Amino acid sequence: MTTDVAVQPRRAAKASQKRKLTIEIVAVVAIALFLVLVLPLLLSGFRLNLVGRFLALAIVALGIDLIWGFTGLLSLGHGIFFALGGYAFAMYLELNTLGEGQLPDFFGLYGVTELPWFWQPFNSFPFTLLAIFVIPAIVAGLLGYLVFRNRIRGVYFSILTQAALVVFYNFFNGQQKLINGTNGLKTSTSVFMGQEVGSDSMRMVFYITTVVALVAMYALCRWLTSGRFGRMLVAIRDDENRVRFSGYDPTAFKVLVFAVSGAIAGIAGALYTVQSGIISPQFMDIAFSIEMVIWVAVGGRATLVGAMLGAVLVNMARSLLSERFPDVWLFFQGALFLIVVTTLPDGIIGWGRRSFGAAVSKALGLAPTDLPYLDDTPEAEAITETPEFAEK
Amino acid sequence: MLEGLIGGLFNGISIGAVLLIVALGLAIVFGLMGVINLAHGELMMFGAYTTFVVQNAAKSIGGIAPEIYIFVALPLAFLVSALLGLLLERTVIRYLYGRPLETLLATWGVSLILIQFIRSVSWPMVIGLLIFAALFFIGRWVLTRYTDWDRISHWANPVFLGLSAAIAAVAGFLVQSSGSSKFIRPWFGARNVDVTPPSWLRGGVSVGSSLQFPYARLFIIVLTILCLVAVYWFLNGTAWGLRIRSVTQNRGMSACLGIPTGQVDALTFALGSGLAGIAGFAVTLLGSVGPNLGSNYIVDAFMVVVVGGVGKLVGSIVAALVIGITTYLLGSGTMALLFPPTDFFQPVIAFFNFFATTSMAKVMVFALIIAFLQVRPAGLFPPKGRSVEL
Amino acid sequence: MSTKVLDIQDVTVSFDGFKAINNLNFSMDEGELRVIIGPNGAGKTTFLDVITGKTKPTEGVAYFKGQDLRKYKEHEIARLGIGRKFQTPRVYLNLTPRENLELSCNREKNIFATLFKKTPTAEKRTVGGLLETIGLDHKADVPAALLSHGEKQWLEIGMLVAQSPDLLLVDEPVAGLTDEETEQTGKLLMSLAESHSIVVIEHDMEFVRQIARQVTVLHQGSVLFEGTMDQVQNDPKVIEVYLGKETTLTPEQMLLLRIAATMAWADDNFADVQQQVILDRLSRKFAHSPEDQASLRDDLTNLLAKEIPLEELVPQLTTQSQREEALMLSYEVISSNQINQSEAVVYQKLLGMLGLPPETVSRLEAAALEELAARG
Repeated sequence: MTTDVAVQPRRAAKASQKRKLTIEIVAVVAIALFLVLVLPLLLSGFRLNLVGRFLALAIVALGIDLIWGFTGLLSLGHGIFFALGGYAFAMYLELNTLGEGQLPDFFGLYGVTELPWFWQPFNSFPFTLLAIFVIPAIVAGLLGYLVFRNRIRGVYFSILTQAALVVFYNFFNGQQKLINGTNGLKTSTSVFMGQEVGSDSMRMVFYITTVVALVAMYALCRWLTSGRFGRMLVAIRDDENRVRFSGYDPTAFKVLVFAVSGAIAGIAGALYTVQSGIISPQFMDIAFSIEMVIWVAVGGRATLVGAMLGAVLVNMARSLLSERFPDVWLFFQGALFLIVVTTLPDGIIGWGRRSFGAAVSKALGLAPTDLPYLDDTPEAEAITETPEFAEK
Repeated sequence: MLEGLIGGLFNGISIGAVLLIVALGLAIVFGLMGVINLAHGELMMFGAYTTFVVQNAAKSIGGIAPEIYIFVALPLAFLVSALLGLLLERTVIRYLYGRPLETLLATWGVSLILIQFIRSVSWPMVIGLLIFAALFFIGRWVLTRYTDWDRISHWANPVFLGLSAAIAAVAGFLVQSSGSSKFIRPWFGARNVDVTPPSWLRGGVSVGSSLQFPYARLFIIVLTILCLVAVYWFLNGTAWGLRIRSVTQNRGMSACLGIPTGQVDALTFALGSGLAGIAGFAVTLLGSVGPNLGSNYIVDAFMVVVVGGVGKLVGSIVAALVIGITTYLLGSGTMALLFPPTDFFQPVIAFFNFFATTSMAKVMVFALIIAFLQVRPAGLFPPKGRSVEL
Repeated sequence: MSTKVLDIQDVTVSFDGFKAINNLNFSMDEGELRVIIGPNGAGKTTFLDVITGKTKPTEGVAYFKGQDLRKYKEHEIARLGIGRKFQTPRVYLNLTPRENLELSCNREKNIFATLFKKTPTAEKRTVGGLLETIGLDHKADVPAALLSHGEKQWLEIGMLVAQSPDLLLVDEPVAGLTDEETEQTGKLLMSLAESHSIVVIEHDMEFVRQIARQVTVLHQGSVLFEGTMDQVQNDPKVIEVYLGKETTLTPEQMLLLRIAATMAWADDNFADVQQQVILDRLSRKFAHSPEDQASLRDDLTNLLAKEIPLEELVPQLTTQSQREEALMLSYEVISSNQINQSEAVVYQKLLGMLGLPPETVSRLEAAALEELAARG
């Protein structure tokens, strides 16, 4: 008797979950089809290119959300991985444009006569495809490993990622002979698959690729965050030490998720580069990397849809405002940081859920779900997040 | 050889001194309050611009003024930054204690606003701001007095804010379009400005044939030492210092003992910000000043705090000096000169030459810092004991 | 020979010269339930830190079932079979109790199993059962942040059990719980003790009495005393540590005192005159100077304010003369004011337990009355 009563709501919850998944898949496919088939008819080439770039940035936002929203690690250095992906693709394009044995033009300026060794593999397209996400993943994994294994976390992690960003910026900026320094690599005039990268048809190809990649990355993040692994990430965010005493090694999980996040940023970087026509150390500007975080915060952290939405909205606002009132943009952005942090901690999605969540769930016939994002973990309460030291 | 070493050491120490004076305020705010203030660099920039303004005033006064203006600029830079910090603490940071990551983002937002403010501040803008402040605060005062504010505040606050902002914006815009071009010009603009040090700070002491110790750098070293002594005395020798230290160790207990933790927070933050102002003053002696001044120093300063460990001044001192000296030795290529140019050492020399620029030295220093953190994750002087965790 | 589940040899932990744990030796058998008490700063939590690998011993070795724990990291130690509950409840606030338990219950804790494997049905069933045991089945799917303090404590104990460790380390499980919840927790721990080895750290003496068989007292980082609860409560060193000053009483005297106090409490009213009798009697016997008597009075008020079942106290009387002493003192105490029904009942019970010959009893009773009369 009693078991029946207990089972009933569980069964209902399961049915509701299934229904939810179906609705979600239908929605994602519908939006993707709209972006690929309808939007190109509505927008000019220039605007469509902008949308393509924003969608590429939405991919980075997914990566940021994965580590910040779910795992609680605030990276201020995602520009590194973004730029690495971009450079990887741009190097391939540089080489692909030239004939056998030729060198990219800029090498001549610095008296370099032989292709540096690390350029060689980028002659191969399959290698480049791999490199776009494997290299950022390795760099992120290594950096993450060195930091996380010593239990350095919280703001220390954020500061160190920012320092790493500055270091990479300095490195790329200072190495004219290796990677053309400040000027970066131009891709708009390069040739890809027999066509100029900047041409309309190629842009359309990249636009569609971006939409596909966004859907794929969304699916990946969705898979990562929904199952046991996702709950593990939340557990690490809530109380890392508890995780440890439950027999899990949080370091391994954090390294993995940071590497995945880096890989996602690399893919985004490659797609953004070909749509914007250039990759340069400017992509590793401090401001750009922090901005990525605010996209996620605006949309609503720990919700994947929020991250993407935030990225697109903030960047649209940016292109609108900075076109007309360049002076106002920084004020606006600064205010955005302040407002989101102080009054809208759950972002647009969180606000929407609180205001209309119940109504929407009801309309779609779903059981209401509302996970509050709570930050009052013991870690967060401790004012100084001193990393524990290991006496050896 | 000896001269080269002494010269290298001096330059390293002077880089370290600048780092230290920038990091000092950070170390106080971060070490004592756990607040990462990304706007620290911009507070510093305000100190620098204050110095610039004082210098201009001194120039227009003429006479002996341009020689001694720095003694006015120094306290004024401290005061301006401290007040700005105080405002920041009271309006934003106060609401974010215990949420370090959010504080970090919020202070970044503040830093963006401050940068743009310096770039575009002009008379029309100031007038607009004053009108806004007047409307908003006087209006609110009237409303709280004559209406049931608690009842209407939830909608009245935003409406009121919007209304005052709109009126102020329109007023500012009207002034902008009607004023003379000189009147509406931005005060500083986005370009760098130059601060000329007094003549007695130009030049330097020459020792031996090739060594030169510039006065400006010596002055900064002395200033840094004075600041250190003052901060040490304040924290360890005064009643407020004791209160600050007690709040650092146990906020709840301190509050129970009747220490006004709110005031202590405000004071600590203002002190840290004021030190940023002094740092801003100091760097005007080294080169030109621009709206992006802060970002050049902030990351290095944070590295000083990370390496030094939280809560101990001596950690920051050692870290700043070590980072400064290492950066100089690597960046100037001195390291490569230490090895005899034989074939055997050629790879080593090539290695050090690769890092022998200012920006590449930073790459190497970062690698060293990461390596150091593998051994001492909590910095040079970590807090010990059963970790404060619950 | 039974294997030691926990064996700690000469462990010292020092922070900057301060020894949080000082030459600690400790061991316990498989299946034992051990309670550790000690004043604040005695090193109790650091002791758990050493076992769980959070702090590495500066000197000495800790063995778990013969394995040297120094070699392992926290999560590896947890996988060896040591579970820990923290002082304040630490659960994952943004996960539901069910998810909390599932994470702990999971046997394969590496990344790939977490990524690719689904929760097995057996584990789901275990979790369902546990939810019922800890009384959270009706709140299984709300975020743990919404649970009350007591529910969080229980959830964390549940997570501990889900881990199915061989050794449970439980740090202050009843802090902040109501009396009823405390008792429930005690029962839960007792039932767990049937299949696990458990170390409990606790301040609540009532609770310790409820669950304890064997108690270890820590003081300034080393073991001060080890024994049953009664031995602990009667040990002068322990009393000194808890009361912060030396007491003049020996364990035997203490026992006498307690029995007398229990008699005085029998009618739920520890009358002043009764206290006076005990005091007089003892001071004449043990304390001669006025200062000694004053300190005795302090001890009394601190120690006698509780009723302890005679069944626990009487068997500890070892010699004939002690039994006689106890009887005489008790009779004196109850006679000091009007003997009422309940006092009589308890007195009869005491008589029965002491098992003294009737002639001795009447001799002693007479002597006791004489004493009373002599005092006026």
